[in-house]
Amino acid sequence: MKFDTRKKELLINLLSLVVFVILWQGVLILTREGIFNIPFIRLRDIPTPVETWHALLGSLFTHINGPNLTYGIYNHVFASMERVIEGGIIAFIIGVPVGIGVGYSKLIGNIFNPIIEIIRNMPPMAWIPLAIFIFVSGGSIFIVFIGVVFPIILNTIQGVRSTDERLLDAARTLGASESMIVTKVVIPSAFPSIMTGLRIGLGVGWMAIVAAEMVIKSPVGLGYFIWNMGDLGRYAEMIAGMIVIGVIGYLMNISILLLQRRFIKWVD
Amino acid sequence: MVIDIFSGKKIKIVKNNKQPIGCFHGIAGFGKKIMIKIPVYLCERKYPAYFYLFFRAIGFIYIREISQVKFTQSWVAILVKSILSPHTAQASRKLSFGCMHTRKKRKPLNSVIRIYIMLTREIMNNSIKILSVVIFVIFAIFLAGCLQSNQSPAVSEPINLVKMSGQEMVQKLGTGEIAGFIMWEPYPAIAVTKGIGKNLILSGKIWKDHPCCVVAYDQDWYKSTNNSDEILKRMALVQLKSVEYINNAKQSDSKDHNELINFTMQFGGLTDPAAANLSLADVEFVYNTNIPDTTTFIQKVQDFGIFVPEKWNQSGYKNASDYANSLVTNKYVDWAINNKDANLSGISLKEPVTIRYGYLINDIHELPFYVGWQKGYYKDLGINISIAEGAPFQNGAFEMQKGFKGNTIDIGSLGIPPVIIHRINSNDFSTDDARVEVIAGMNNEGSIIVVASNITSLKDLRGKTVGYPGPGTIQQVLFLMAAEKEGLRVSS
Amino acid sequence: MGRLVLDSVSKKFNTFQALENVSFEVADGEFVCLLGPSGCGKTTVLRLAAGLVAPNGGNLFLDGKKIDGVNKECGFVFQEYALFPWRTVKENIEFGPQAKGLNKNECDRISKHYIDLVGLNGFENHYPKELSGGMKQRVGIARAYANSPKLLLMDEPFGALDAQTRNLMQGELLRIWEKEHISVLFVTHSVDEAVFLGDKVVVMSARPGTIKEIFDVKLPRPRIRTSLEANIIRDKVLKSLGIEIKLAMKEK
Repeated sequence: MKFDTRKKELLINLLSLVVFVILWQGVLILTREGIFNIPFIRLRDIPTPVETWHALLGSLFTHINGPNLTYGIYNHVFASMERVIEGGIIAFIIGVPVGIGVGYSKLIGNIFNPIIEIIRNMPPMAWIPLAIFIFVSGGSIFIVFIGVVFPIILNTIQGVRSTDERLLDAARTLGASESMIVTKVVIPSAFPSIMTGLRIGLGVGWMAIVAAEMVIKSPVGLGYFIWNMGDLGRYAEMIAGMIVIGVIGYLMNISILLLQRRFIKWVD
Repeated sequence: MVIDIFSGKKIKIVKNNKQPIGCFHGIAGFGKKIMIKIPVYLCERKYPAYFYLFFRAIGFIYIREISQVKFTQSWVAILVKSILSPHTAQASRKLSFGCMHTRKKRKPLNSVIRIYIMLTREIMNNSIKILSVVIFVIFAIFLAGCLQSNQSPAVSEPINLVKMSGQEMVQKLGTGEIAGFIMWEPYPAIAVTKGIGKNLILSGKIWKDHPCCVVAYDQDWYKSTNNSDEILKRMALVQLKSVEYINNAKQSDSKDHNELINFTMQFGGLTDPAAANLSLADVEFVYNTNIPDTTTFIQKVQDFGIFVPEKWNQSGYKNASDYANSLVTNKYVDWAINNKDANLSGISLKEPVTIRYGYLINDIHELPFYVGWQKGYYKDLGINISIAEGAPFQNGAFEMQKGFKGNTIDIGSLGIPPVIIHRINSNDFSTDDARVEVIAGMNNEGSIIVVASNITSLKDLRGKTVGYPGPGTIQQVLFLMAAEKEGLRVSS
Repeated sequence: MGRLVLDSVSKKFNTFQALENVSFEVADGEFVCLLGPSGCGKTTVLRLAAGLVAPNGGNLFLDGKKIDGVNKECGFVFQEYALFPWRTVKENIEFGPQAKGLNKNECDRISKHYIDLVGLNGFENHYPKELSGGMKQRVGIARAYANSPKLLLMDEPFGALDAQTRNLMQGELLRIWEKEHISVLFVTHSVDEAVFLGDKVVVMSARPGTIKEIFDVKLPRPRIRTSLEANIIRDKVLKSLGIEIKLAMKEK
């Protein structure tokens, strides 16, 4: 195998994960033998990587024992992802036009800026108590929406505002009408920023939905799964769930990145 | 008439009750067609190896997961089934290998090892492509799941249990967010007296005289205390006396009746005496425990798959009866029965001890504890009750994990199913930190399934949300037992 | 066709007077080079002619009509190319025709014609970032031409190129211009360039910019850079410009 730089980097990435897992296993084994201890922390109950792996495999699918149906991680992932995608789509549909309007027109910008600036600093989780009251179904999609929409709006505004002046001039001298300038110059120019906004927004939305599911009572969802496992004292499943959450967040991120790279070939 | 994709021949459709005909079959063929064409298309674009992986993955998931929950014969279901059927996978696999074979001009790949070596090499060389395929697979699974969830409610739609506090249950039943709840008294009584819901099933109907709350001690406390046996004997005696008091005072013509109602309202957090009366009526207070019934409970917990298998194996118990005998002891209750007429101060402990006591929040089942405490029975026998840190607990699971396992409770009262479950699941067998033993009963029955007015039977709760105090509680086990009788499924 | 007249044009930006009493003319089909020290307002003149900004005083006329608002009959070529990076070469050139509302076939025809004219055959589907500086400017020129303008406004179009490419592009520009003859107003820093390209060289003064001197360059085409006549004219222009440059530097 030839070791060019990219493969070397990949190798180091993998190795660091492996080392971490080995350390994790090692520290726990030592703790359980009584050799190693940290005060105020119940290290003994933290599961080892091996236990976490078994827990992950065991809880991946739905189990049915007589009347008792326990949803698998697979179902929880769908439920959470469904909510994130629905909230994300609504956020995209609302956020991009708002962002373009605020970025392009000074008047609209001045009208909406104060509201946007105040609300965007409220973390999505702060909306949970309100959402529980207002929305009949608990409002988890609303929480995702709040999480996703603000990065989209802010990045869109920035993308629109950073459109090269000269491109606008060029379009004008070529005879483009104002609407054509917006659709054919401003929007394509802002497109990378919009995609970045979507990527960041989905990341925030994913974290928000997990937190929301812990509070909003619904039988499926990764947040609910983790909380439930914690209640049952099944820490291995809990950590397995956390890892799944992290991995899926990561996959969402790079899938959009890959899409960006594939479709936005013109960026230097 | 339909053309068989695999052989190319025309076949006549014979009407069969299981298999829908006409356009549905066409859709199944369409699904198969897609899955055949895709690997051919991709094969021509050099992705054959990955599709072998893809189909293995899909086949695996199909077998494990989708076959668990039955599809209805909606067109969506047919489409998905046809896409995912093993026959399709096999056919596509053959096609992709054929493709590879002609392209690479090698000997036919007839050994599995060759396939895997080739796959590994391809993976090493093409990580980005692999990643895109992985993402594609995930989205395909996601799509399959979405299609699955769009079925109309079928027989197998489960009742959804969601954990919440008693107050939330009453509130949410009122607003209609949940269709019912199963909870210990006094919450059912509160809901009924407020006119929010009606009793559907009493737990006694599910299983007559089932044991509910019990008194248990922590093994670590037992080992580190000298006169623990003497203390436990007296705890059982208080229990006996409290239960006698309550059973007498329950009668409305008893002189202690008002005092009892006051105790009930204080302990249960009630404001309405009518609710207090109602909740007392529904609970049967006892002081002894029953080993055969405990055995039945353990067997049920096992059947429902609530025990973590590795933990059960670690415990070393051979069967339910073995476990029950080791868990419950009646010797303290026997001593209490023999001494029930004795003067309390006469048999008090020589030196007073302090016991950290744990109990459940607003749970009428544990009224005997409160009575014994308020009426000074414990004090007279030389036992000072100090409320354990974290008490009162929101449910038995919490009391087991935070209280007993966390070493903040010496003796406590809680439901017997949490004891049964967490004594195994939450126990660290190298230190046995969740080891408890049951010495006396608290009550039997006393939980009720309360539902909204438009629900007439358990079947009506299918697909709806029902509140319960949490996983590993007796309410969960009882609800599962009720559902089992009617062949329903419950998710938690 | 393409006759540009500036009549006592002045322009003030917030705090400073950029142009004062600028008057000159670009005749039909004439190639006029605008020279001047940095900051004298050459670019402003171009932008006024394009209609991107409006004058404070005086007027501009194109073919007798007053220029009011963005002028669609001018083509503008920028120093930094200003190509749309998300559009291929072909699509960039098609922008003007698309803005006019022409159908796909028409746009195709026009873009093919101009790609051929500027010598970019084979690069139709490349993105701007894949092109060299000279090629990008060819696209810029083609794009401006594709709109069938009467007047071509060029703002130091070869300023970002290296010396060799610059010379090459000057030749290319003349070749294209000979094929499709329109009026050109060409802004530059370089006297050599102005004398090589233009029929007329207009020298501007330092800020506030006015017209200092206008030189006619009556040399035959194709021009020879180093001919005696060219040198004489260049000398005169340099002298005229040199004073202005010193003035501009003093201001700084």
